[in-house]
Amino acid sequence: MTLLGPNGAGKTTTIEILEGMRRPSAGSVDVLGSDPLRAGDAWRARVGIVMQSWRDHARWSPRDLLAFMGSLYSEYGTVARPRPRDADTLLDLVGLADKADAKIRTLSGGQRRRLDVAVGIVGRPEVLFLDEPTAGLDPDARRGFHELIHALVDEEETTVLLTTHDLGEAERLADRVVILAGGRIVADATADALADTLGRETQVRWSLDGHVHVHATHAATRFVRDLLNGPEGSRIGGLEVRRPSLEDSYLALVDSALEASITTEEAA
Amino acid sequence: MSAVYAHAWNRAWREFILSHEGSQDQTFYLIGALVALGFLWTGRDRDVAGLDIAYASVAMPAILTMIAAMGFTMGPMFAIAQEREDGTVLRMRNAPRGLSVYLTAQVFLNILGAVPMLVVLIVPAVGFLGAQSAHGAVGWIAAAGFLVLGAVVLLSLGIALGCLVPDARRAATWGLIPVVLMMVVSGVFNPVQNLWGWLQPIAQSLPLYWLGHGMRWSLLPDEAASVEVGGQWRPVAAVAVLAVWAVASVIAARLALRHVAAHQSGSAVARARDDVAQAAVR
Repeated sequence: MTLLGPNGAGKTTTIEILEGMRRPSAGSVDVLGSDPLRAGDAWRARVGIVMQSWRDHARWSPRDLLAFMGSLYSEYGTVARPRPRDADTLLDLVGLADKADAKIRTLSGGQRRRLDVAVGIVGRPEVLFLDEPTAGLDPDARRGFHELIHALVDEEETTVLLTTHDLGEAERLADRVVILAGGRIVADATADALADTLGRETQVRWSLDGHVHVHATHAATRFVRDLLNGPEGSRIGGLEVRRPSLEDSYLALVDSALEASITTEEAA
Repeated sequence: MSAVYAHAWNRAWREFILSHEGSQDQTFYLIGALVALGFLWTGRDRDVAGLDIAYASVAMPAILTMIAAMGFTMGPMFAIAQEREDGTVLRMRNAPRGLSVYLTAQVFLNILGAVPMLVVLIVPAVGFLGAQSAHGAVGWIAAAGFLVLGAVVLLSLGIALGCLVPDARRAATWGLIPVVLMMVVSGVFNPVQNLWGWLQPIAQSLPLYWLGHGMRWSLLPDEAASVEVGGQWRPVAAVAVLAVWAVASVIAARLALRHVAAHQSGSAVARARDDVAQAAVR
């Protein structure tokens, strides 16, 4: 599942509340059957959090950090879900095998991000949270990351919740996309139904007697047929039928949601 | 619970090994030990208070107390001020029992870290400068006991300070001042009776005074009591006061760390990172 939205939409706030790092101002939260703020160590062992590191454990090596962080989960393993994962297998999985014994401070930004993911999944979590995991990754690293997430979901039955402001990424990665704007959910759909949810209306433009007309419709073919067959059909010129991209629709939806929230605030 | 100690020991040991590779931490300790040795060396011919013992023996309790006061408060303070900003505390917090392991590892690490320095200081002081315990091995054992009790108090205070200083860059000023003040008024180098009258009861409520007193009681001859308050040794009071401080400071450290952890999040770490980046640009 992906939380999608512009900067300031509330993605990070939402994910931090679900991780138990932030107190919600109202309402109740339930993750794996517990309130994250009150949940104990057994709950922590079932939840993976990928945080964006910058210089923690700089002197450690990836192998040592993974082995140590993994050892914290060793008392929480079950037959169905052995914990932790083996550090070397994990380093292979995230493509850091050749950096296993390097100092973490010598890793590049992309390598460090992949190490963060490895630490996040070393305890074989049932739910994994990632906040903007691909921010600052080059296209190659981004593709590698997408493959890793797909593998996790398919092979481990891990529920993954990630945030992004990249619509394309949300579409590619998620079974379910939730769009946030101004702190509210403005759309909640499967990736396949996203296009419909975004209400992509085709725009038809034409000119009649020197005036330009625009009409938005879901049934563009019938509208154009009726238009041309109508009484003024022969005087119509400059016909243009344009289907907006998903990106345009997404931006339009976010804009209108933001406008609505501003109006509500002013009214209040 | 024993698993927490095992994980914490693993973490402390790894950090200890890494700090030797990094040489920076150890250089700091070794220079401290060498300065103390030089101090003992230059004063080796001095007679103190009519006691017929080597100067190194007289100064040893004060030097050990000072090392504990500095190392055991500064070590965890800088580490936590730094590691709550760089994401270490947060990363540990996200793992099961991670915060307990982190705290315990800090205690282990700082006690481990003090060992090389104590060896570098005590071996030459005893071997070449005539430092000795007036009560033989029993005196050294008592001194070690007071050091461990003092370490629990001072490490906990250091952890609490590390949680309370605004950020790592200001840890030096905000954290150093209370520690240095406590050292100045606690009669480690200068008997508390020489302080202003109103300051003496305050000094005698501080853990450092009683740690120093306990170290002197352990290592100095009985007649050195003449320079103590009231002219007598108070070892039982020293243990009692330190024990009360130990309980209070462990509670304070837990509360402070819980406070920090509750206000720590990915976005808070990101903010700290941006602040540091901006400070670097300025």
